[in-house]
Amino acid sequence: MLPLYLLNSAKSQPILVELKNGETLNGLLTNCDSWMNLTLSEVIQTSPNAEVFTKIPEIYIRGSHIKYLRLPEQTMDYAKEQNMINMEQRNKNQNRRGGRPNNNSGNFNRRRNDNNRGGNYNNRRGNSSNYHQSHGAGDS
Amino acid sequence: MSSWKEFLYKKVRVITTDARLFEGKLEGIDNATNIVISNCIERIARVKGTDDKYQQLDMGLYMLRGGTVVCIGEVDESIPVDWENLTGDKLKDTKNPL
Repeated sequence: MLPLYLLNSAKSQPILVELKNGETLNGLLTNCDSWMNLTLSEVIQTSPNAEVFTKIPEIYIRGSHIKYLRLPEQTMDYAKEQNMINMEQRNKNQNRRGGRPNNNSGNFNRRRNDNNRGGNYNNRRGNSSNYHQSHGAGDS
Repeated sequence: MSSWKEFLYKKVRVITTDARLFEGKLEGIDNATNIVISNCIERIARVKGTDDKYQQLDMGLYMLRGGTVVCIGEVDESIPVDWENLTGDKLKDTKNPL
């Protein structure tokens, strides 16, 4: 289970974030991205010495500023469940695509031809660009 | 070879840059060393020469950002540790103020 995948499935759940400066933020995770940047809503911010508590309706946290996160225990199970559902869906799609084996091998051959043609095309383009270059050199 | 793969789903201890020790089951890790630990506990050992009690805090499902991880090690459960009476020098954090 990748950490960021888990974080994704913790959306709309209450989480605790501790920042590098010791501040903690309690709130509902509204969104996150692959840099671990977060947006939280209904946040309670606690100062590093745990003396000042501030209520904030919404906050954005830069991922690099995070030290750690505490997630609800059931997030793990939920993420596993989601993962299973996704896998099943993917398998279904794969079966639908691979349903016609004869057609499949035909596709493979055609793709090989396409590749060859692509090579020719590239070569031709290489020649034509050479032509342009020499042409330009003649002009100057 | 040296890889975190052999630690996955095993009980590990992690030391962080702010000199804390966490223990739990390693559920996930990525290329940035972001770590997921389930049933995480923080162990706060007694510091030599003080009357502090040993503390063990339940943290539940815990996700550590890669930048804060110093080391990860598998726990050898065949070695008993008497945490209550264990004392040691306080770990310094990794920041080096000039």
